[in-house]
Amino acid sequence: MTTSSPLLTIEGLGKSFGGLRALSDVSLTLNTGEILGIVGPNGAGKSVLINLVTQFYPPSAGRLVLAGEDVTGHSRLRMARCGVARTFQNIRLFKRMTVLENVLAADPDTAARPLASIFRRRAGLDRAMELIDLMRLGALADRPAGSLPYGAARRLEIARALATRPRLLLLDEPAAGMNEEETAALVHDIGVARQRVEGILLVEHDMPLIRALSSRLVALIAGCKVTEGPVAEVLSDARVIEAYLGPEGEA
Amino acid sequence: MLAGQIVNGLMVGGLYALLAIGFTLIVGVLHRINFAHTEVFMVGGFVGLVAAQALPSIPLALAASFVVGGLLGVVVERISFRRLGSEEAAITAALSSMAVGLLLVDLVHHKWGTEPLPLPLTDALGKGGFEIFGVRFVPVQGLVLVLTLVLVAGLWWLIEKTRTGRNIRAVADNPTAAALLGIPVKFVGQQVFFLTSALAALTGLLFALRVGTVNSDVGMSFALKALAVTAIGGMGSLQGAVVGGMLVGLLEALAIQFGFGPLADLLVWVFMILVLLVRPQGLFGSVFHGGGARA
Amino acid sequence: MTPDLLFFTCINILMAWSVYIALAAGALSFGSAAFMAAGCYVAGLLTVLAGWPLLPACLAGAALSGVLGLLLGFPALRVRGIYLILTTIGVSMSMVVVLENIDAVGGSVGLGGMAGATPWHGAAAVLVVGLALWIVSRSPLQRVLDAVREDDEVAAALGMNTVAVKLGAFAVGAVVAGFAGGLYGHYLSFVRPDTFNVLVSIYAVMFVILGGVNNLWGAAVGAAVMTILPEQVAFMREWRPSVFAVTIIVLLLVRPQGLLTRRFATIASGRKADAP
Repeated sequence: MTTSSPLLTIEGLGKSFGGLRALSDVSLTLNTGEILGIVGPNGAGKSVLINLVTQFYPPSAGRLVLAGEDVTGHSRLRMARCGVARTFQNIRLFKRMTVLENVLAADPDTAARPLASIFRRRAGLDRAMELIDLMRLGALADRPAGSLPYGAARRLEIARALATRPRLLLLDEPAAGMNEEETAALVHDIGVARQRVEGILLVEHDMPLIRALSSRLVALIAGCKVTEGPVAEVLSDARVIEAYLGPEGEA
Repeated sequence: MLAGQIVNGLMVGGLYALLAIGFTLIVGVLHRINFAHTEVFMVGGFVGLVAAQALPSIPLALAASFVVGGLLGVVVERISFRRLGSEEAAITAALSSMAVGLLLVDLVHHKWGTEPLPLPLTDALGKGGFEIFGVRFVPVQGLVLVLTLVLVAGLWWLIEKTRTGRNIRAVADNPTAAALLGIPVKFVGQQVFFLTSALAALTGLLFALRVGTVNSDVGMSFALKALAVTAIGGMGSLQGAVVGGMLVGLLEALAIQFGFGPLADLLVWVFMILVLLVRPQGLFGSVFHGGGARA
Repeated sequence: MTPDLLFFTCINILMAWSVYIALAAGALSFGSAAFMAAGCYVAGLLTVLAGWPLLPACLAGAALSGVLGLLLGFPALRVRGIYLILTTIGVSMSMVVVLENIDAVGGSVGLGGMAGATPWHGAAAVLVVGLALWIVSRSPLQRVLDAVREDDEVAAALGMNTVAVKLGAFAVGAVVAGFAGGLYGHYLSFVRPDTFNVLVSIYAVMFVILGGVNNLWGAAVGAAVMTILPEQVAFMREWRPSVFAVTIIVLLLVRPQGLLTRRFATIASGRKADAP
């Protein structure tokens, strides 16, 4: 195994909404080449974490370092242009555009110079189709994104995120609402996506997916990091088990 | 003279306040802006004209305006404000109520033409007059002043002290919870529309009494400013509507007094734009209504 | 079709497109009257006082409207939805009052002496703007606009500068309205500030609502229908505002996205589609 350098470092990250403390003093490191899983019950702050890393809102405390560069306080746009891409738990596709257009919209050259793009109609087309085929969406390329079945919509979101040529990919509960078969296919798709990026932060509830993909896990409970380490270790931690199987009775 | 101008400003402010109360109630309870409100105001004067031509009695005219205005409000609610939802539905409702307003203006134009018409009620209280702080008033103006105060107070009493008011406040606060408590949310919405539109029409008649004419223009030229007042005071805030209205009325009067008359109209719009950009919730408004404004 | 009708149809199409362009980035603006006024007055002053020929004057008016659009758009676009509607209504109302108070341009009496615009100028403008919009509609820029309009948070997360896009669209819309204003003034030869009252903006928005917000033809069709059709039918001519209003009301109840709803994809993959 080659020595991997930290792709993303989070130091003491915290976020409060009014009086509500959503995240407290969370620190973690994601190394190049790895898929780091974030687990925790609902309300643990997993989505807040993704929102903070992508600067959907600014942190109340803490630092973010991306590949050695301090990116705390960057704008959402700047984070995207630094090579951070994400998917959304509730899938936010551009429903009125086709699959191909969704992927093309994310093309970095177009996004950076939209006026110049007027005269480059077919720019990025090959790359986009390659990603679309990669995510097994080739036959659906001209369908409106709003008409896609759930699994395909998920794959499109990943393809679109990959189209920005990110270094870091953040997946927010990609297996939400999927059955066993779909989850298995998703494992394959995320494995394929992994080849295109330097690291993946996978926030997930679904155990089979986490087990199949992550090399390491961080467990968040009630906004705090409770433990981290190899998958088996974290998942057998008493606190994690209790948080999942406790009064709510969820496995 | 300054004192006269100030009292004048307060009177106009009172009318702005009455209109703004209507706007703000609909924002507060239904989270919508009713753009037909301004033309219901305009129609109120013409209802008064019709009533006066039947029988030159101010109480009759006031009652007629109130009832017709209220009914118009219920119709507007049915046409434009039934669709539920968030931002897109709100814009659709706004555009639809704008169209209703345009329709009302055209209907009035066809019946009464585009020129102002005299309102044969202003002398119903007789000539003569009285003085306050050295300012002369004719009886009708006094009536407008008194009625404005009565209506504002009456509305306050309705909202704070009656069951209807309590229902309205509950729906404004949390429609889901209100529904769970057995409050008929849709009916409350209709009540609010009846009330605010009746009030608008009544205010329109008061305005017409004050100037002595009815005019199909006044929705755009006068009442629309009350929408700006509503934003300034705070969308959804009753205190905001009243304070905002009085403040704007006063500022306009002072502007006229100190020679900036023609620019007085500009004042309220610039003020509104500044408020929306700097403090979207207005002077008194809740963050809920203003906070959603930020892009 | 009379020359007048042709000209006014062209102007209304341009005004509808002015609204459409800003709306393409997600900003529903009621400011087109203000920009039309700015373009008209600037062009009018250049031809009447400085002897400029028509076209450069109208272009200058349009450019200035664009600058005004940038200046106003920068703060205004920080609010959205109904608040943007209110703000832009305020802008249109304010512009009328401001113009009424500038004696140098005639105050509330108005500005006169403009001449030289013909229906062919109007038609040419429609062709040029229409062509530009058509080219954009088939380009990657259209995808950026659609993305920003549909979900500007996600668009930003994908690396698009949503502020610049919205501001740009708003300013270009202003330019088109400004040019239309210049032509308008030089056709009527005399305008007053009240000529550009907020009703102009409201009608422009309603043309787009009627015709359809999802493609550029919708706006043009809405404007053309509402300008030409009432002239053909006597009843409609007399009751034009009412007919228009009722049409809008009914449309918003049954088909709020307008008459021409189809969104045309900017590009096709050339792949055989999956069985539906």
